[in-house]
Amino acid sequence: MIKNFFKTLIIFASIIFLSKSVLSENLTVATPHDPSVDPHWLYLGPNAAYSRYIFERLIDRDENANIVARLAESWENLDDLTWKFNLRKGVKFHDGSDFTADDVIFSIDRIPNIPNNPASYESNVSMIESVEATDSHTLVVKTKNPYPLLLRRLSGVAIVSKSNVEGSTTEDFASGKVAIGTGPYKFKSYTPGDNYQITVNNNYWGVKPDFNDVTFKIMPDGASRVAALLAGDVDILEGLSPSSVPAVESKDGFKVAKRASARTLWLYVDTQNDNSPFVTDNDGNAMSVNPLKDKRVRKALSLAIDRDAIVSKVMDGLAEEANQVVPKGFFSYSENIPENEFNINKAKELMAEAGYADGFGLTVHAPNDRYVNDDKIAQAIAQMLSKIGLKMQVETMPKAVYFGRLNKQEFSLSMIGWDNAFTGSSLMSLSAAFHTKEEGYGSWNAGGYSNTAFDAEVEKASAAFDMQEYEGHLKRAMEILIAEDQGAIPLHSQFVTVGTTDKVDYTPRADEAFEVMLVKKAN
Amino acid sequence: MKFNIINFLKIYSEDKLALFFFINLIIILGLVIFGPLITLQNPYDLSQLNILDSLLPPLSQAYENNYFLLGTDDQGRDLLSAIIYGLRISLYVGSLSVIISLIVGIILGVVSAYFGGFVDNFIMRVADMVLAMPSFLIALVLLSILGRGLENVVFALVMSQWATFARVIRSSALSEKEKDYFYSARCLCLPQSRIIFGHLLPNCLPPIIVLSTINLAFAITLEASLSFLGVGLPITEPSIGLIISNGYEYIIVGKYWMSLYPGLFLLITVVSINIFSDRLRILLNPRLNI
Amino acid sequence: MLIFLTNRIIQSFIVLLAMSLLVFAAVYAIGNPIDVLINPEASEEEKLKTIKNLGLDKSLFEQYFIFLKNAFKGELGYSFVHNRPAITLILERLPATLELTISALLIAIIFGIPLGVIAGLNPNNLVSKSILATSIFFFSLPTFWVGLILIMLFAVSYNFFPSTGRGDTIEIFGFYFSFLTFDGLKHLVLPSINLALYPLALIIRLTFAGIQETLPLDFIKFAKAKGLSRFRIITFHLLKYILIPIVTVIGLQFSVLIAFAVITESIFAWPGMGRLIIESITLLDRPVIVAYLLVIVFIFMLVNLIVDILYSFLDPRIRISDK
Repeated sequence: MIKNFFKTLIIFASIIFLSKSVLSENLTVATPHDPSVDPHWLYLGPNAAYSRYIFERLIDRDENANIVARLAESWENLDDLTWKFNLRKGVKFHDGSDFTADDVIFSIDRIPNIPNNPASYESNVSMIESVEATDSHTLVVKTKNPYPLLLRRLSGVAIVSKSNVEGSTTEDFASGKVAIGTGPYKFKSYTPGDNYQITVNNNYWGVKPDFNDVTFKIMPDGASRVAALLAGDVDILEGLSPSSVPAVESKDGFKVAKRASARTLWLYVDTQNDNSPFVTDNDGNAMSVNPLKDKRVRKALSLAIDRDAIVSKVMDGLAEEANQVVPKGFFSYSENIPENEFNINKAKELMAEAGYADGFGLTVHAPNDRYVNDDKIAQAIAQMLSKIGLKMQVETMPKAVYFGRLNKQEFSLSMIGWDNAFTGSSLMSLSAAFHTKEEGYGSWNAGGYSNTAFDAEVEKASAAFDMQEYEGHLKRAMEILIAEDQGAIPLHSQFVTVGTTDKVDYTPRADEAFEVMLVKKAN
Repeated sequence: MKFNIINFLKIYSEDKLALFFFINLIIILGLVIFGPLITLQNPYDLSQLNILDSLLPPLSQAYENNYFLLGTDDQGRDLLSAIIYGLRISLYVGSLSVIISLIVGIILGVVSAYFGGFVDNFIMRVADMVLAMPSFLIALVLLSILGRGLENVVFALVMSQWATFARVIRSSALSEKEKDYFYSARCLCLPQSRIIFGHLLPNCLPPIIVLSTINLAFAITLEASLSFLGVGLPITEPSIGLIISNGYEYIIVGKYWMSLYPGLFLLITVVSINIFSDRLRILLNPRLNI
Repeated sequence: MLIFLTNRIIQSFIVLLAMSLLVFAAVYAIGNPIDVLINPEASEEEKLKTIKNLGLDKSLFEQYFIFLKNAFKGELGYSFVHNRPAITLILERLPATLELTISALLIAIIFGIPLGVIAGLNPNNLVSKSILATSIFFFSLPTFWVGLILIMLFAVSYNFFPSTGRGDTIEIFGFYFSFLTFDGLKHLVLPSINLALYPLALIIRLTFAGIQETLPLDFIKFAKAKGLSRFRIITFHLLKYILIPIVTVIGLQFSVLIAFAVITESIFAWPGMGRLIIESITLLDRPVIVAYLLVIVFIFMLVNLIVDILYSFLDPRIRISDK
């Protein structure tokens, strides 16, 4: 009787409260990120991804990290320093004005000149010496040095409308007043911390997206996003943690889109300091030598890590072992580097050979809100390393604190994950994270790795226009770094996972950025 | 009612629910004190863990004829061992922070009440400032600056609690000051320290005891909330709060045990302490002028 | 009364000033925000330029005085992350948090006082005992745990209520409120219940204790002797008498709830100030953190002042003295 009463109550309540979003022309996205509507403000991954809807670039990267023409129709190298771009004709901004070369020049000029921008897009235009319009739709760009990567750099330069944006501030973008681009969507509304809405641009020159109105619901907590998807409040969910994948997949009417991303995680090893900050002897006292400078110890660390267990247990199978700092099969991946080996006995032998049969104390550092399961991976690694006699500790911290300390070389063994999709090769990781610190190189060399032969290969690669030559140098550099020196300990490449209802299909991007245009109505 | 063991037991024996939780409290204290002797493993020793044991459901077979009674967590820790160790560390952090806040509060409160004037004004204005901030926020901001670590958590908890103690102790000390015994002690020209510690303090004891037990429960919950938000104790030495928050994301996949059981243990602990302090309050009947 | 008010305002102002110094020093002691926000590939030159632009190259004291100077003009700095005034960001989100906190308090009051009265009048029957026992449970439940259980039960398993987020809003005086729409109300239910549990327990216990203390008092006996109805005695005499401590606690709880809303807001994706502060802490958005804490202190003081004034209306014996 009472049971029946409750049943009726539940059904009754469901009828009243049930409000599944009706999927027709509208799409609701659950996302962890707040957008910056100003496409030149704050160069963070999610902001760059958001800017793709309203704004376009001359050249963009597609979901497979290949270059595609957008506002530039074609381009050519006049010489090593000079590039000519033919711009697409007949493209109109959302307010009806024509897109011309002046808008491009204005956008390139605006990027370095936004006051107080803590993370400027400047690094994407700083190599440009001059930009000139030879007519309304032809542009000549000169670089300071030979710069083969210019096209990829320009994929990080969103084009805004000069007539609208001139004299405006970032606040004018957030209010929508000057959020006017040429992209497939137009600005509709933005409530910070709550939702961001865009609506389709009917005059778009390119392929029209499948959905007319898109609402991003901003939800930083992962479990709440999953709950929202399963409750039918949203159609698609960005940033699904591997552990939640089964919950989505096993439910009728839901599915998960996944692919290997171009981001590879590895461990920096302090190969520079004689007193490494987080290396101690077994009693916790500082050591006069840094065992990590011994190549045998670094090899032992790599041998002791069971990457298979990390992939299957911590990442729920949603990752791929990595034996170098780019994913397998990626451009510039070197086949000459041997597969990872998991061999505790061999690791112990190497440790004994180096004179550390009894181990030493070591702390592994990692962020706890940056990569998929970053803090869990760090703990698993510590477990594994403790099996070869090391006295391990783990310290994780929010990215806000972590990267600052990492940059100051405050750690001995530390985690990082690098997205290789931007350059489409290992160049950025190798030149920034491993080249000896000097002008233009090694700005993220947190392990202090330094090898002149390696540096020479990286420098040759960054000035090479010929793709084969370019790849050859990168492969060679990677072989020196990993196979010869074990200057870093590669871990794995993570997957991008996106949960959806079965009414939509999604193709994830290699650079992990979310893109509404890749969401299609399911047949 | 006078405070003695007999009255205390009487109050408990009359109330089945309270008795039940009092027994629970004793069991929990026993587990916490003798835990390391009976657990399957030391969950804080990384070399005893194996990631391959992770996420096993309750009653899974472990090594050498042992069972993971309550299953394992995401790092392969035996959940029961982790809960016992976690409660141990949570109770330790909670009681340490209460004891330190109490000491700080007693010193500042009594000094304030005894000396009055400028000293009193200054201490109480500072206390007001602390009380002007919700304790949760004080702890959150402090920890986000200091980073994880046992001392940091204790420090943050003390910073957010001492002012309450100082206020309560000051006000009960003030009312004691008006009483006859205090004047007589002064007239006898007893040394100040003896007046304070020998006479003043013992008489403000009831509210202090009750406030301490309330704050203990509060400190444990606060620590759990902080761990949930990602600031708190080191992740390799999880407190009960951190264990729950580790299991939090698994509730949705049906791996309920990682957050349900530690949640229940936490709940029972806090309820037991709260009921205990409630009975103490009835027994001692202090007026808490917080 | 007037002197009392001015005194309190001056006092509050001094506390606010001291607080700002403490908060500023504490918050600015956290790592360098540039390290977090700046693009990994930025050159050294770019970094220096940004540091200079943001005024982070100046000493802590200089930075504080610039901050104070601006504070008097009502500006609490520009958010590093959003490039918008910090105070605007906070005020934009204030309505959402207030809505949540006030609904939680209302739930606590509407259910708490009657339950407390029921328990207080017949402390020995089963209903009262279970009310009291439940209140201790509510007191002890970890908020985040309950939040997730609520979502699982009522949003995912049964679909009664939307799981997260805020519903449709209506603009009033430039601020957006959701409690005036049906959709908004539906979204409000779970988070406000989650947040209400703690103050609910507190109010039940306070009302209970108040009634226990009041029942034996003379004026109640007198009222009974006068033959007044039980209902009238409870509503007019009893409740009025015990309302003072309850009002105080509600006032204090209001600011505590605003702080605890941080947890509820992050579980239910409620776009209030609490979520802003968590995001700002992880992104080291110092101007927002400082502004948020000052706003909280300000609200707290305001509430205390209001409580003090309410006192004098509720209890003629406590007339605020001008000393």
